Amino acid sequence: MKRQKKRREMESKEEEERRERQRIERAERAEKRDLLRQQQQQHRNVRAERRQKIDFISSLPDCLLTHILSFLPTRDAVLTSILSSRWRTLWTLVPVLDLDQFRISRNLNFLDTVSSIWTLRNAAIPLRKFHLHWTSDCDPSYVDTLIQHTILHSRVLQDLHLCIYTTDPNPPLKVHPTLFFSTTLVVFKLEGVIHLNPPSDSSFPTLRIMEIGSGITYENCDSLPTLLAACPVLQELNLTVSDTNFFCLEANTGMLKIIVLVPTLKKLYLYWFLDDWCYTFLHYYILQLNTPALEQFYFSGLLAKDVNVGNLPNLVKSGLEFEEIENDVSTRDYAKRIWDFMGSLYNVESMEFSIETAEILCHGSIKDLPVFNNLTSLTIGGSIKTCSYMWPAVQLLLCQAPKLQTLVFELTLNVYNSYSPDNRLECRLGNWLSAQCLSSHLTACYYKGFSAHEVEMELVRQVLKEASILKTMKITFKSRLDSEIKLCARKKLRKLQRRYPTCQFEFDEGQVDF
Amino acid sequence: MASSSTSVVVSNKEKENKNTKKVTLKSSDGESFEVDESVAMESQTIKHIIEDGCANNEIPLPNVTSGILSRVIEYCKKHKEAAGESEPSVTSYTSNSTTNPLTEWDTEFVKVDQNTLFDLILAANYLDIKGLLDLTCKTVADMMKGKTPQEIRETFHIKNDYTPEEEAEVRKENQWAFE
Repeated sequence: MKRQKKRREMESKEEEERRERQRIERAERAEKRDLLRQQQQQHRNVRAERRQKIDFISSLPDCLLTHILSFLPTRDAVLTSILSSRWRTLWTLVPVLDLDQFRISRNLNFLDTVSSIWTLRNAAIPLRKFHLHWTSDCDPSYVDTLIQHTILHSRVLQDLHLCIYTTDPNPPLKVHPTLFFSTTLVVFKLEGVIHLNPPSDSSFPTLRIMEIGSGITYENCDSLPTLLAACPVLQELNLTVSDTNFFCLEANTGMLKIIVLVPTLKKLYLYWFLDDWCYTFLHYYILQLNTPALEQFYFSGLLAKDVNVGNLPNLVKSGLEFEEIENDVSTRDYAKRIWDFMGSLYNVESMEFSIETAEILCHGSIKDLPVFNNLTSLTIGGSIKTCSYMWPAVQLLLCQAPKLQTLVFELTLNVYNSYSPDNRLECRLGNWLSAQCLSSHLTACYYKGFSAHEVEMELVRQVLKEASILKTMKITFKSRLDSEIKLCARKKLRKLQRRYPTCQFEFDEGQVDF
Repeated sequence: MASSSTSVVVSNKEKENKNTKKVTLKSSDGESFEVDESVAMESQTIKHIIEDGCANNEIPLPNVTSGILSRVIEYCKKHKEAAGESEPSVTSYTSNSTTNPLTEWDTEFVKVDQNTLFDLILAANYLDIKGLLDLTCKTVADMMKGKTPQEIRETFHIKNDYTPEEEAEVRKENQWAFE
C-alpha cells in the first residue's frame, strides 16, 4: 500500500515537473516569437524610411548650396528656383555669372535677358567669376556698364572671360582702364571685337592665366608688350595673333612686338592667323621670348622673320604646326628658320609634329639640324594629302631623335583628290624609313584612326620592318569602320615581317570618331 | 670610420622624425586616426588649431564621423603626395583635365551614394579643405546639369511645395530660362 502511494506520488510529481517544463518551453518559444516579430517590424520600419528618400540637399546651408550652384551655367542655376520654395532665391546669391547667348536665348532678346538677370540677382553679392559669350549683335556700351560696375564694386573678381562680337557700325568694346589694375584677377580671357589700350603702368599682380583670342585690336605697337609685362606671376598664356590686330594701327608705325619676358610662364600657346593677302605682315612682327620656366609650348601658323625664342631648358611638351608660305619668301629660307626655331626646343621630352610642317621642311637643307636628346615621344599628326612630298623630312626628324621610345601616328587621309581620276590616294611613301634613323630605343608604336588604307598599311609595314626592338604595335581603328575590314586588316597586319620577332600587336576598337 | 657612419645614421633619424610629425584626429564616434601633421594641415581648420598651439594630444572633430573622416584623410594624403613642393595649382580655374594628374583618382573618389557625398561636403566645409569642397560640390552640380527641374527633384527627392499660383509667378520672373 505504502509503495503504491509512493509510486503514485512520484508519478504525479514527475507529471508536474513535466508540465512545468512544458510551460517554460512554451513561454520561451512565445518569447522568441515576440522577439522575432519585433525585429521584423524594425526592419520594415528601416526599409520604409529608406523608401521615404530624404531630401538631404535642401538641408544644406545657403553658403554650400550657392557654392554648388556656382559650378553651373547661370541658366541652370536660375532653373533651380522652381524646385521648391527653399530654392527660390538661391540663384540670386551666387557670386558667378556664366552667360552664353547661344545656350540661353535663341529667340529672345539677349540684352533683355541679361538685364533681367542683372536686376534680379542680389547686388550685394560681388561677382567672383563673370563669363559672357555674346556672339551676335552685342551692345558694347551695355557690356561696358556691366563690366565697369563689376570692377568697381567687386573686390573679389578672379575670373573674367569675354567673348564679344558686335556688328558694324557698333564700335568695339573698349576695356575699361581700371581693369588693368585689378589686384584680384587670376584668369583673364578675351576674344572678339574688343579693343585693348593698357596704360603703361598696368599691373596684374595675381594673374595666372591669360588668353587673347582672335579679333582683338591694339591701340599701338607697345600695347601687347605692356600687357605682358604687367603679369609677374603668369603661368599660362594663350595668344592669337591675327591680321585684325592691325585694324587700328597705321601702316609703318613700327613692328608689332610680341615680347614675352615672363620668368614664371609654364605654358604658352601661340596661334598666328593670317589671311593670304597678309603675308607681307610677317615683316611687322617681332617675336621675343624669354621664358626659362616654360614646360609646354604650342605653336601654330606662320613663322615671322624676327624670332628669338631664347633658352627653354625645362621644356617637356611641345606641339608644332607650321603653315606654308606661298609668295615672296623662299621656301628654303623658311625651312631653315623653322629648323632654327625647333633648335630652341632641344630639351623637349614629347613633341606633336604636323605632317604639313614636314612638307615645308623637305625644301630645306639637311645640314646642321638640331638634335633632340631628350625626346622620348613623337606624335605625327595632320592630314596626308596626295601628291605631297613629306616623308623624307619625317625621316630627318627621326634621325635627330636618338632616344625616341614611342612613335605615334594620328593622321587623317585626305581622299578628295583631283589628280587621280579614279579617286585613289596615291602612295608617295617610297622607302622613306631606314633602319639607321629609327632610334634603337623605340619600343612602342601607336597608330590612331587606322582605316586600313594602303598608305597606312605601308607606314606600319615599314616601322615593323626597321624597328629593332619594337615591343608593341598598337592599332586603334577608326570608329564606325566595317568589322569585315577590321578583320581583314588584322590578318594582313599579323602577317607582316617584324624585325623584332616578339613584337606584340594590340588592337583597339576606337571609341572616338577621329 | 665607425664614428662617422653612426653620425650619418643619427642625422638621418633626425630627418625622419622631422618629416613624420604626427597628429591624432578623433571622430565624433570616438575613433582616433593618427596622420602626418603635413597631411592634416590640408585642412585649414586643423592648421589653425595646430598653429594656435591648441593641439595637445588629440584634435576632437565632433562634426565628423569616423567613416567620413577616414575618407577625408585618404583624400588629403593623396593630394599631399601629388602636390609635393609645387605651388598651389589653379586647377579650380581650368577645367582642363590634362593639367590635373589626379582627375581620374578624384572621379573614382566621389563615386559614392548621396548620403556620403553630402556628408563629405559638410566635412570639407567644416574642415575648410578647398580642393575637397570644390570637388564634391562640382560633383553635385554635374548631377544637376542639363536636367529638367522635375528630373532634379527626382534625383534629390526634393518636394515641390509651391502652390500653382506661386509656381506660375516663379516661371514668369525668369521666363527666359523656362523657354
